[in-house]
Amino acid sequence: MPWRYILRRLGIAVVQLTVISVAVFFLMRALPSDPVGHLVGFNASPQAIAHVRHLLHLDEPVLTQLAIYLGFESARFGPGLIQGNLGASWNSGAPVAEEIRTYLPITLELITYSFLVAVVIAVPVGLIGALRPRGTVSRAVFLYSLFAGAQPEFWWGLTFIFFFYVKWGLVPAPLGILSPFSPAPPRVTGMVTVDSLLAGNLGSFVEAAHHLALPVLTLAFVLSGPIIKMVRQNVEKALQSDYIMYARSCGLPQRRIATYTLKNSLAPCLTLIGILYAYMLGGAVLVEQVFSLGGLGQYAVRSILSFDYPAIQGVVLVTTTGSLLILLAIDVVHSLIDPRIAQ
Amino acid sequence: MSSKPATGSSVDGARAVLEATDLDVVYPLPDGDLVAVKNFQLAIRESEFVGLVGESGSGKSTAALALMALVRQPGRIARGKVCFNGESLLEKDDAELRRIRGRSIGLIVQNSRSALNPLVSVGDQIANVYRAHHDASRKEALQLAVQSIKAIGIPDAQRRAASYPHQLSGGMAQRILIAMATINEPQVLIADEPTTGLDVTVQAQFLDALHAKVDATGSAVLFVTHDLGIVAQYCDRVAVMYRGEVVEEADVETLFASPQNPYTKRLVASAAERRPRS
Amino acid sequence: MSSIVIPQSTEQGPSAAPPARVTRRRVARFLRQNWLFDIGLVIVSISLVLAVFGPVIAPYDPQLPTPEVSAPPPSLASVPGLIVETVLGRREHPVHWFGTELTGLDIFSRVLVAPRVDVVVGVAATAISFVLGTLLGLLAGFFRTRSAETIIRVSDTFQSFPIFILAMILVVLTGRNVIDIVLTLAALYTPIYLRLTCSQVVSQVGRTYVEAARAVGNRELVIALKHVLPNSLTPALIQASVTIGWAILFTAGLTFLGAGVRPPTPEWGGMIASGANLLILGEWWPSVFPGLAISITVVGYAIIGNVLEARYRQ
Repeated sequence: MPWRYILRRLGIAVVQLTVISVAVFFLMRALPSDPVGHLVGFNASPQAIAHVRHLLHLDEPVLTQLAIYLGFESARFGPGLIQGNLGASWNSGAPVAEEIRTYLPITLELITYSFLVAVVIAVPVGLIGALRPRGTVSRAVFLYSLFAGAQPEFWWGLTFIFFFYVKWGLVPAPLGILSPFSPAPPRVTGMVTVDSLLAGNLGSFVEAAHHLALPVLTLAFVLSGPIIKMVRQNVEKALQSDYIMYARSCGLPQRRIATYTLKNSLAPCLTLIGILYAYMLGGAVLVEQVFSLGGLGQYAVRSILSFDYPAIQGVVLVTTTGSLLILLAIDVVHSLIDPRIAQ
Repeated sequence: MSSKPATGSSVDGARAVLEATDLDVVYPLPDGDLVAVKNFQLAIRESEFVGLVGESGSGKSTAALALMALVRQPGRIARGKVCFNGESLLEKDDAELRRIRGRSIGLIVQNSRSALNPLVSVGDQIANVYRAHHDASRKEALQLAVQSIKAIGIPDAQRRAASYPHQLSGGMAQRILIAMATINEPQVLIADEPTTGLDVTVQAQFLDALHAKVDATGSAVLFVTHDLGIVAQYCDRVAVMYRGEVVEEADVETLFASPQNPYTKRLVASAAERRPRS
Repeated sequence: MSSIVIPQSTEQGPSAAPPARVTRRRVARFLRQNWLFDIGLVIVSISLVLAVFGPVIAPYDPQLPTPEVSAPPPSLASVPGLIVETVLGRREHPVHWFGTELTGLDIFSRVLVAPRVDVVVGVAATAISFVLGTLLGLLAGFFRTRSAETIIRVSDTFQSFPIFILAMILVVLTGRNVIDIVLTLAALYTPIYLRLTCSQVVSQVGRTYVEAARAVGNRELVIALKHVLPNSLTPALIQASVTIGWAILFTAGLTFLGAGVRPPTPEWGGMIASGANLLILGEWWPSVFPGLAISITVVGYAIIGNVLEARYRQ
């Protein structure tokens, strides 16, 4: 185990998290819109504006505001980032951290299932497409991955709804993860399928899975494009490499050649999957919207369109942190596979 | 241009272990076929150390690989026969060829850096070559691999076996190839320019290890190179290639003492002469 | 006979000559041999033509309602006859080829005019980020200054930022004008071109022709711009087509969410959004045709990028 490399990466991640937290603080202040105006109205009286500015601590020096935000001035101004406080939403008044805790697991549920389906389909297809580089199968795989990666997923979601729900009635109405009439299982993780399994509630699980079928299909469809492309390219490169050629000339059996090929193509594919997953934390919003799933992306859109600054800030912080952790995990796994990384 | 003496299985009464007859290797190019190797004829007998020399582009590597029925894409063997212990290699299917390669015929290539799998330890790679042809557990095969690494003169063999190719120096990696190619004690070892690109001292290390190994196992060697010095020092017989054809073949002393072919004469002369200082 | 056919060695030795030049004959041969690329080229050309001449070609004013409300498109059987009539000029009102939507707007005209936004945004954003990214990448890779390397390291940290959400934020908070979308996307895609060009430049700088140019006495900047840059552009050029496709998808998606171009400007994503509710009622034409348009257009750009990339790898 490359412990030194892992520890070093963890250390870097801590630094990056700090940098990102501070960066988000300044980013929100650099945005070309006036939060005070959005909160109190653009025609408010100067007293109202001054009052709101005071409430938002905008009358303090910038560094003090940063300290408040981070949570270093909790005695005077209340909890900050370090204490896990992300402020209160201007729309609902509820703590942003609470709202994100509700919505984030739904997005994670959607994305994780979609990636599982996409990988299960894309890896074998990409493999087959790489075996005979100039054959018909390979060209077909190339065309499919090109096509799938260029599709507007929100339109496909609607098309799927039209056929599977409107025309054929195979799936329930796109109104969220559970029908409005079904009670949700007791909350453990926030992911409905997981929670219903944990509670032993198979009925709920099946219903949630049924509702997730089309969104997962839609997302997996567009994800399959780039994943197939990456698998195909890497397997092709491995098959044409000098070490595979040498292994063949040493008479190694097909199974060993296959193991070598897979191991050597795996690493760059993992990196791509990690990057895609991190991107999807915010990028799944279109599918979430089409199927009314109630995930983090929808929350982000609502907050952005209504200029809800604390909510926007909270979403950016959480998704960035999530991406960072995912990329870190990918790097660690990569170093386990490829001994050159840890040097 | 060619003045080829007769080669064949019957010279000196010894049987040819690996023999090529009338071999042509052709590469299809958009403007027409390129004949890389023409009328290639060579017999390698038991425990012989044969050199194959020529300049870059003479087709020596292509010919050497063809002796294992290996051709670089998009080329193909257009004509001729390759016989191993009397059996025609070109008529065998992939499974049979797999049994022969790595076991009865070994290969050492020029660039060990790209020939070794970067993600697998060198010990495991050697062990896998052994396990490809013998029924052995990973532990047993690894032990053999460690011993083979020790045998080629690399100190601290146990630790070296666990290391990865990028952690080894160029010369060491090249010697690992010797271990890989000889772990199954092949009858013939084909070495395709294994020392080109190595420093002189490292070259010497490599050649010593190789020589010791083939002495111990009695393998025949086909050594492809453009370095006449190596040929002079190690080879019993040598074939000279020019533009895809063997232009001369003789035992080492005869070739250097009295080369027949004009190209060979130039080759020998340029290698032997020291230009007088003016 | 069966022998293993070994693929070409992946090694490439150093060479004194710069990479081969693109000649007219090579281009013609390439076009003849790659039918897929030709299809992509046709699609892209049509999208560009529509971006410029869309309003001229469209039979109806895309923002003017017509009396035919929620009319479905003509049946397939009647299409040939309608084409003949249109060509002969026998029709009083032009055909609603794609039907009309809720307020009577002609969908065909709106689909034809939408590239004015979608394609123009895509091309403009890509052009800006291409120029900026490649120049910065050239500087970073060629001059290898400490600040250049820190920029790259810093940009790696910000790799974790959620680009879709950030882009949404920027677009909405700057006022959702087309120019804001263009600039936001340009900012988003510049790092891609920066990284691509930088690594390509770094690999070119080691080649002998650069040393040769130095030996002849050229100034560093001249070498960078005249010799290294043209040979480092290939990956970036290939990426350009793909990026245009991404930009179109992004613009459409953003407008679909209600965070992009303001209505009633015809835009494919917006059209899909307004047609989405009608889908449940069985009226498929307001959302299917714009969706098809996006799908085909982005595939066209993707074809060009991917075919070029496949060729380049050989």
